[in-house]
Amino acid sequence: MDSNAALADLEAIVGPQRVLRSRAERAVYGYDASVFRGAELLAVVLPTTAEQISRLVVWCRDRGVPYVARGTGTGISGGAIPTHGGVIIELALMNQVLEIDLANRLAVVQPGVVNQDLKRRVQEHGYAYTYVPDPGSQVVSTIGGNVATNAGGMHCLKYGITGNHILGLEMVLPDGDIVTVGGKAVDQPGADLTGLLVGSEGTLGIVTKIIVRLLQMPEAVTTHLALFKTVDDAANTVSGIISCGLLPAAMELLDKSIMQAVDKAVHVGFPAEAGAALIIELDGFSDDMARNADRVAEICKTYDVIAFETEEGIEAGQRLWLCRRAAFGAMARLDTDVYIVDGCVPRTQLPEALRRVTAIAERYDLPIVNVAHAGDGNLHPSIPFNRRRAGDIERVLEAGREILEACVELGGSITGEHGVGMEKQNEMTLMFSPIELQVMRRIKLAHDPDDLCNPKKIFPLSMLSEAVS
Amino acid sequence: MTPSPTALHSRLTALLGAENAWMDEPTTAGHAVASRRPAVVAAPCAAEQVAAVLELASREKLGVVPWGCGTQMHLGPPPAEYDVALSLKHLTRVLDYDSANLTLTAEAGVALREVYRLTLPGRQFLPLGYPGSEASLGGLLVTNTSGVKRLRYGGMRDLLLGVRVALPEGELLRYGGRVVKNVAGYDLCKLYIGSLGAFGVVTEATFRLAMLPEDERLLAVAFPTVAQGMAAATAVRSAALLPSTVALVSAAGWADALPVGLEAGQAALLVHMDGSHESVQRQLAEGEAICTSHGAVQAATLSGEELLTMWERQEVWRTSAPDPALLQVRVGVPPSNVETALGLLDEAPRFCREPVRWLADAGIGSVTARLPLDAQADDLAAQVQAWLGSIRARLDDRQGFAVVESAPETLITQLDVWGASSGASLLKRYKSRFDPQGVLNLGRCVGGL
Repeated sequence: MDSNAALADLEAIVGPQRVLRSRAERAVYGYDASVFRGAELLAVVLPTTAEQISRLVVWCRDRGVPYVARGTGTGISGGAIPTHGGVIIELALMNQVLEIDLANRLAVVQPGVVNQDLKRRVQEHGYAYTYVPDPGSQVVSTIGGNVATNAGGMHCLKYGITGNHILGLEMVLPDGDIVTVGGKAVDQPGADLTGLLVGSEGTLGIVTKIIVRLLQMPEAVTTHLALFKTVDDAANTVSGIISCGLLPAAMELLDKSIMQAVDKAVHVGFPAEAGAALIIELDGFSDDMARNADRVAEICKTYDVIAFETEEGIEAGQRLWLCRRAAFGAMARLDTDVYIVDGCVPRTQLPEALRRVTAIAERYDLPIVNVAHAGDGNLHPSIPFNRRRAGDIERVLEAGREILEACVELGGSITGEHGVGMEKQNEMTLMFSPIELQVMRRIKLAHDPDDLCNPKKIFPLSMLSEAVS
Repeated sequence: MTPSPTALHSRLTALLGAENAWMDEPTTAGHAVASRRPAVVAAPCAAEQVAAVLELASREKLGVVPWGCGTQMHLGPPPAEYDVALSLKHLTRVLDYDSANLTLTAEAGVALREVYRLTLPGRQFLPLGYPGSEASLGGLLVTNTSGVKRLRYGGMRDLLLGVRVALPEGELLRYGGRVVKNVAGYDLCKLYIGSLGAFGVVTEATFRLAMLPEDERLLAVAFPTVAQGMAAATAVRSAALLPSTVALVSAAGWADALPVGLEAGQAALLVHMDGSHESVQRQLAEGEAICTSHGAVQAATLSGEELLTMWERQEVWRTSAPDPALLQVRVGVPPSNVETALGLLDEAPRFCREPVRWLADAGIGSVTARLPLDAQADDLAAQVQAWLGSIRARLDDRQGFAVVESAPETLITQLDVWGASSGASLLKRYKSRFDPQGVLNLGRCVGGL
């Protein structure tokens, strides 16, 4: 392809200032927050409208050029890596909050809106509402990214994952058609297309407009930090709280390894006998908050809690949240890189899953530390390593795969909230039979028969090479 | 060429055994959709047999209509092809009830009331309907039926975690799983929600359960006008309350069913509150105060059996089998436009012989309306289609839609049941890849699939 002619075409679609073409600019868009990197790009384009994106994808289709839509690149599964080069369709300029409709408790946003910015915008209006999903990266990650990965966060136990908060989408399909699914009115006739397209990791089209639900802020919030001797005690506490009918907004678990790392980083002063920490956040009406907090304290006692602290209100609760929020920073002190595994098991299997993680860590001689969204059974074993040390990446990925195998064996999933991307393509076979994957691929082929839209992702590479041959 | 009923019956008998395939008059008549009857009724005993029946149907280019408990077969136009009724009546095993993880996996033919029976002792429930519901789990799933308490507990799309489906070419597949957070690959479970079986037969499903609330009250309040009732509903929705349902009902069709008196033209507000004793008491007090300030004429608070009865009436209203003298329409709008939708519906068209009866879920933005048809009206079908067209055009401006849920057969075959749907083009693409022969429920789903 004549690259100058191609760039001129792209400029004609999005405007001359909105095609990045220098070597450095193209190089930086070959990365995201994963361990992977992409192939050399033709260009990075910054469209501002769905119509421009429609013209871009038609241009790509007519020339067989692959393209990848990208937000802020915080994904850690390689979902936004341009594995086959081509064009990056960067959505940073599509960052408008189009509408905040409090009467219907929803907002309409463009995909490039940053999570935190939407929350701020909603609250600036003086409204006691918020957009709930809160992936760890929310300060920089975008709503479009949430939709692509069906992102989770700390508050999924009570409030659900991104898909539960998306009412409708506008999407540019790979043939250039612009479709709307779902909408401000729920239960449109036909299948739940919104639900199907959420979590499709940018492989079925490019989302250009998103209708999100807003929820009322809770009237009261109480945060507890409970320390236990063992992970089992903490996990049993989690199950005990749920079975007595309480539904906390969050229940986060830290094991001894990460507690030690956090202690070194922010000097919490955990007692030596503490083997697990649980952060429990209750929210709801003020009327029953004290009684619910007492019930939580009682259940913790049943499982031999060794220390229990309570803070009332969101602000005060941050003190107790610190040891969880400091976790990833603390990991950064352990080595130059961190590989975060994202497995999920039925909640009651969490202790067994963590036991298996420990055994795998010993076998691979890796210093794995654990944080988990315990209420959801979503564990994040994290492996400090150094990508420049020979053999490190291979060993880390191998251990990660074994952890995911264990999660699937225990009735769970290879990814709770980060997505498959490039990282877990081959692990898809742990969850799905070849025929299940082939049928799943019918959806991809119905959208993108040429496999140009974020190509060669999600499905196992063996299957994709068969498809080519 | 389609085999003769006798030949088809013998092939299905060979697959399923003589005791699970019928061609007698009472059985086929009992599986009629409108006046269309299948040649054979087949009742597989396992998912593998469902797949085998579908494979046969695909090979022979037969029309198959899956049949759960048969409570919602009136949805959609009658099937264009109907050779086999695929009864799921033997798929009634609960495969896994994991109370500690609040999940339940059951075969598609399990009735919701069975789930209640199993989970109530552990103070858990599946909030997709009332405790006595005879609807099957598979039926609820493919008709996208959520419970009236959706506002608090979520709807089908929030509660469904996994499916097992049989595809027309005989594949048997599982998607989703048993955990809430699971983002491995496309969430194909969602393709089956509201699909009316167009993309495969759901043989089993996994749901997340909810804990029963400690306390539960239902506030029923009569208002002199629909507008006042609506204003109260909006105020309740906007207050710092977390009701499970905020519904408004018309006097027509409801007056005798309520604990408060209603006269023609009036409306009643029904607010369910679930939660702890303290929070329910407080919400009740605030709810009552809001209603009083909006001109309530009478109020009643229900609990226990009375509440259950009223809850059941609300669920049944939305999902009961059709009365042949009625046109039932479901209107979806953003919640702030419910009042407009009610205004459109209350302008009773000429083909109505009595006032329109409705149940409006003001929290969700969904109105179920029943229009008593004047059988004497000239050119009824043309009148109804014209009326549908006009309310659809006006709802479209309000980001709403209207679908026909039931109508007399002579009428439904002449109506545009689903209306235009922006997702129809995608659904067509999927249909051609999932059911290229058009075996399943042909012509019944959105877009004429």
